[in-house]
Amino acid sequence: MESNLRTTKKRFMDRYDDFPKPLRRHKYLFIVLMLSLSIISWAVFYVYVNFSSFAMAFQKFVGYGENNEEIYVWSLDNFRRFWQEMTYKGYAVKQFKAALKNTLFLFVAGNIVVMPMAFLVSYVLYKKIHGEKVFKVLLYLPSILSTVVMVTIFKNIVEVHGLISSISQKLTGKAVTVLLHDDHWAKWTVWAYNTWVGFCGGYILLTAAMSRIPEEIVESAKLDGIGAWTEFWKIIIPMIWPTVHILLLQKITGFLAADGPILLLTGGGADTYTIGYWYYDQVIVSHSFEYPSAVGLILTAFLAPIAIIARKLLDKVYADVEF
Amino acid sequence: MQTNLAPRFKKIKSGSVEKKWTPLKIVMFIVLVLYISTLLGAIVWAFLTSLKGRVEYIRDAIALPKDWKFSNYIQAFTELQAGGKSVWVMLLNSVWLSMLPPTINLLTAAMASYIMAKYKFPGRDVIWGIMIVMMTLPVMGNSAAVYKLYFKLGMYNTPLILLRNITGLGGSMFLIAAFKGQSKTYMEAAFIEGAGHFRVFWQIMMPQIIGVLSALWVMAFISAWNDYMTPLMYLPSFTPITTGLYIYQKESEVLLNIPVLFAGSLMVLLVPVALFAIFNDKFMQLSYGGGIKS
Repeated sequence: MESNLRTTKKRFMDRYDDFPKPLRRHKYLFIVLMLSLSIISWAVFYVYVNFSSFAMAFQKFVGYGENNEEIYVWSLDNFRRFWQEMTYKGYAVKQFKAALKNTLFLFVAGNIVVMPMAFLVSYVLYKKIHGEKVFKVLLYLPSILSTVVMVTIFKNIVEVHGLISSISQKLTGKAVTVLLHDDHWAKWTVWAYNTWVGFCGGYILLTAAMSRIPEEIVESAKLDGIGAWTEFWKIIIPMIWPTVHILLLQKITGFLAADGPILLLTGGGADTYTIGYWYYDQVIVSHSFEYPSAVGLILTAFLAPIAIIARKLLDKVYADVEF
Repeated sequence: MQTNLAPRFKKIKSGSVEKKWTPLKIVMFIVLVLYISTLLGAIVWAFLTSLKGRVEYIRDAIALPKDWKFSNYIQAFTELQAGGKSVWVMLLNSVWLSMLPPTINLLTAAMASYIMAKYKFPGRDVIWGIMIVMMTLPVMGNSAAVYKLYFKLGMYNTPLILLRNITGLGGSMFLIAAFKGQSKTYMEAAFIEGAGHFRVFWQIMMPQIIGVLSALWVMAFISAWNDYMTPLMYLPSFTPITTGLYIYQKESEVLLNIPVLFAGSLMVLLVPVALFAIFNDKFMQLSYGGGIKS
């Protein structure tokens, strides 16, 4: 028993005590102090938040008690409501179903432009296009310009009295009034804004990854006489796969963020509710807490397996390349 | 043979770095030039508009300003009020709301990352595991719980909201790499000289990564300066200027003075643009790799 304890202790010392003796005493105190803030923050803002969100999903607010405290009961009502809303035949613009539909639209329509652009832009930057340095600086701008300001300018371009309308009035005599106010067009205006500001989002990551490809590999391939197309698919993409992997995974898990500044652009009008805006409307404006939490739980239950499967699949495409 | 091959190989090698026009490059060049002109064009249009009179803009959004009203830029300081708060109050809020979060964020991240990068201790693998799981597992739609918690902790509408900027586990991957990249030699030398753990962290290791830290700080400052949503949701009494621009527009729907609004907006834009102009080299190094030399 005694010797057992001693070997355990010795093993522990071998593994963790890499400091000279006088420092050992304070080592663990130091570690605890340095980590404590992060661990407390994680425990409160991640663990507690997610547990309470989970609990709230199964709760129902029933009223106030004698001392004005809020009373909740356990219930599956939130999930029933979700099911009812999803199977409801009509269309209610402020409901989650509409928000989900619009978010999916913005996600797909947005990435159809942004993703290929990200690859094309990073490819030509990697291949040293003329004016490369100027492009790199100017393409950075959208990410540092204030959203409120950019939307203010954009809104006045597409608004009823705005730039586009004025130009159209001069040319055809007709004002353009639909862009922010028509149920069909407003989505496309939001899409246009997102595409404008996020034009080739992700290109920085990709360009950085491409610039790390060893030149000898590209050179020797060139000596073998392969074309640009083959080079891109057979050499560049496999070589930067870890980065592509991260980028695609970010896209999938950030699907909820595919919404754009709805509050600033349309204020949720003209059928532009997105999941992000729906949450703002529910939680911040209407102070409804339990139902959004239930929806969050359902979304997580759907998306977490998708993210895990996507990760597995992406891992399989190319074995990790190291260089 | 050898002597023949060598120069040829060299020539091809330098050829790849040479800027050669290919059809794809021509197309992309045009696309990028067009795209950037829409960005800059919009800002130029906003600038020209900011010099017009209020009615002049409503009548014609395209024409050049009749007389260049630079006074709009002065008027912006008095006219752009939001919720009864003056521009000066909002600017003051903007300053602390963009300076403190990055500072808290980076300091706490640095503390945790340093331990994770340089110390061995039981439980380290557990923390690693948590970080990995947090990175892979998306959690959606917990904003109601967050909002309620802020109320419960008294963080809602008080400066205590800054507590949310303490970096939790999983938020400090980047700095772990930065610390790992620093050699242990300096640490060991300082320990031998008799320095304690904290002293080594604060006086030896932190200065080593100060280049990365300061670039990250400026980046975080810019995104905090641009953040209008956090104050809108959690700090109704501490409106910064970006949120103020939105509230101003909402409050004065019909009487909105677009040229003055644009003048104010462009001034708000000036802060990140100026910082970007100064630190653009560091931004590029940090973004495109190669690291930052301290």
